[in-house]
Amino acid sequence: MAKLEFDGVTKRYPDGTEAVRDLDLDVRDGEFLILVGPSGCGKSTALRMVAGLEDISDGTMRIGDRVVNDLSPKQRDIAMVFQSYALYPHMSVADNMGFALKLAKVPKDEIRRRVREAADILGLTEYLERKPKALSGGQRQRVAMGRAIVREPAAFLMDEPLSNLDAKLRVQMRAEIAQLQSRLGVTTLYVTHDQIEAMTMGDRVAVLKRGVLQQVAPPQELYDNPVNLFVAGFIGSPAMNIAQGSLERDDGRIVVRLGPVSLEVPDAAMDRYPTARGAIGRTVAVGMRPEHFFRPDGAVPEHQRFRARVSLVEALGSEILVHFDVDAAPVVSQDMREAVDNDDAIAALESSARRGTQQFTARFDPGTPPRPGEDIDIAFRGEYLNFFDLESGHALR
Amino acid sequence: MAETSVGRPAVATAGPAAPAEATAGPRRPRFGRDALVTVGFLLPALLLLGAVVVYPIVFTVVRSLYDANGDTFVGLANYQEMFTSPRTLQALQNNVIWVVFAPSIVTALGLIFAVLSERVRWSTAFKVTVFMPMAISFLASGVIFRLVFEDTPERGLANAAVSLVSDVFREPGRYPGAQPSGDALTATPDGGFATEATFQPGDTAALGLVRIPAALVPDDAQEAVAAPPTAADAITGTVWLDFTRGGGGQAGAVDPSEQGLPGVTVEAVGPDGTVAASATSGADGAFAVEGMSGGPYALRLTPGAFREPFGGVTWLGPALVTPAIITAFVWMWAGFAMVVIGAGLASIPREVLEAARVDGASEWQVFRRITVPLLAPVLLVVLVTLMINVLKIFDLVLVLAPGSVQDTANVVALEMYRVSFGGARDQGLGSALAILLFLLVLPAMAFNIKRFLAEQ
Repeated sequence: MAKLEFDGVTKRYPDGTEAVRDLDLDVRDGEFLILVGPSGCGKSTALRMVAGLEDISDGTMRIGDRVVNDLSPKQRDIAMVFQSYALYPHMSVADNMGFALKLAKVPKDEIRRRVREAADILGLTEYLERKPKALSGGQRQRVAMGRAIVREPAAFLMDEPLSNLDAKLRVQMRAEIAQLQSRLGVTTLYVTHDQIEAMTMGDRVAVLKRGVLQQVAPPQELYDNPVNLFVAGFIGSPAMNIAQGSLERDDGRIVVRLGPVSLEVPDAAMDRYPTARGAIGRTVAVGMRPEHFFRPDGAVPEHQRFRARVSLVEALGSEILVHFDVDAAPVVSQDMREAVDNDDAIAALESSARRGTQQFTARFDPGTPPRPGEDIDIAFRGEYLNFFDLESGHALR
Repeated sequence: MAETSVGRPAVATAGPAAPAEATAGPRRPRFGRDALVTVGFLLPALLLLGAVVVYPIVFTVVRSLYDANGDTFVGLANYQEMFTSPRTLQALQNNVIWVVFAPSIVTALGLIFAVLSERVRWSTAFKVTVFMPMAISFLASGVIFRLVFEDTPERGLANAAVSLVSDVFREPGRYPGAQPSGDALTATPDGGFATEATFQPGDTAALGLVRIPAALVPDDAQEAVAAPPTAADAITGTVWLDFTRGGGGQAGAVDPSEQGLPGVTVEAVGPDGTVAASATSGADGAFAVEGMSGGPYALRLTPGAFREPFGGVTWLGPALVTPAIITAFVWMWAGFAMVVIGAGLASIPREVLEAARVDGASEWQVFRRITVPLLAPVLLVVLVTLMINVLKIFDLVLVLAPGSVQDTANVVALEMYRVSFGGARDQGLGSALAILLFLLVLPAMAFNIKRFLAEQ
């Protein structure tokens, strides 16, 4: 086992484009680190550079204390799980799992023992003699895991290993992989674009945008205190509601005005974003998580609530998602485009920007759901307000 | 509804129309018409196949049971003759050599080219070049390789290449073909010359050679000296071309206008057979083996100066003709194998190869343990297709093998042609040979067809 250390690692293609730029990142010994970002952000490239499948253009890559820039994959002692599983179709499950050991000239008995052990852990014992073709998707995924486990490598590299599974199996394997990793304690770098995998599986999450590292933090920290608009918009599903708002002082209180709506900003929020005080009187980007909206009862004072027209209601059983219109200009910046990562959604965002209005999403407890077209009272827990600089996108911290 | 289908029970069971029964409504045409339509559509193809495939096969089988003219039924006599004739047996033996070597060499080369062409920069140009011979007819390639395999290095590419290499290791002499003039010198077994007479230091030797074309005498050669200066401790003499241009002159004597032969090494050999000293002849042919004492010594001209240049390998002679023709075949078909195997390579998922690399496989191990096993089905198809091709090989042998070695290079298809349409015009025996060829190809065909069906 070993730590992985990216030191200014850059991947530059012959045409000059940089897939990964000056990446500094440590994966600690035994840590489960998730590398997440929208498609094309360079996360897979970063992983492949660790594996030695991609040349490193600049910087230093270390596995343990060894600089591995010029080492072949063979010499790096890492195991990789591919999205497509990349099983050897002509070999049985046992041979698939034992291939690396066989190449390393491990004695036959030892190979058999380790393959059996791994098969036990993964529940593959009865399939050992089968060819991959005769396995289900979940079983193939396990074989790919098994192939990594038997090697007892310095580190696991996983490249979206669950994205080819159906939703139900994915939930199950997600838990299994996380458990397995904490049991084996092998340093793991796990690439995904899936929000839930990023939030639930790892010790820490590294967010990448266009080849540039944005933030590395434990999942909750990342969720609660994103360093910029990109991380704020990318992490969380449904996404954080982000709109332009102006911070103003009104009668001794600080309020934020989102179009016609104005909400009181409690000191707790100001304490989390100290430099926001300096932005009073200016327009900033305001971020509001869907779950921090609530339907007020009579006790909530007038200046903490507003009325809005419901446009869509999604009842999910355990919760309901209510989409409502807010006449506040959305933030259309490069950060936001990257975070949304969907051309149609971008186009919708831009068209609503021209109209100076947008849709917010709120997550409510199930109860009597409002009907579309209805005007309802909505309140926000002001201490959870997030403020970002409109130009740079940085959190006002 | 049910009554109408019961009314024609015999036709209702006809294969293609059967599924229609489940959904058959009153307006549907009845099965009898369907069957007619089916036959109608199949008829042209059936007629064509019958006329150009089935009929010739049946006719050939029948014809093989008759004699040369086709008048008398002779039973299996043609087959008996076929399997006892040394020519057929030689042809069969050659066919075995072909089937064993040609397809495997072509497949191996195709595999190497396919793998390489994935990694080289100008891969398209490379592929086109290798594939190009496929566009040339067998006959034309036969002619091309007839030229390649010409006997002399001046005309044949293969021999030119061999002589280029051979000359490096075995430099040809300056005066190949030289012969002694008179009795002073006799040829030695190693290709040099030696004197019968012996010499003492202070003596002079006249070592005349003939049969050297004027063109081989170097430009810097001068008129030979008749009497080179003598010395007490040296054997001196002249090596010269003992031939007076325009006639005249005396054999064994240095006549005016006769040329010296520079660059010949002269060794003085003592009575015990050891070389005491040596010298090289100058521009005027004079030499002086110096530092001598005692004696007597015989003089020897070393063979280096008289070595024949590389004369060329007789590729199309009896010994090498089949390998040579197989080479031509390989040249033609390597491109085919490369393209088919290349397509197979492209269908191997890249991630599987990467997984193997991460698992610790070297490039060779990836090739050997992953690429080749995954390509095995493709390799097999290429191999079997080539086997069918090779069994039927005819035109290359006909064009490439000179008449004198055609018996040695014979293959079944060629034998069939020679027997049927050559001097004997024995189409009975020819038909028997054709049937033999057909039976040989059949298993390979069956294998391929089975594979294609399995793939569907």
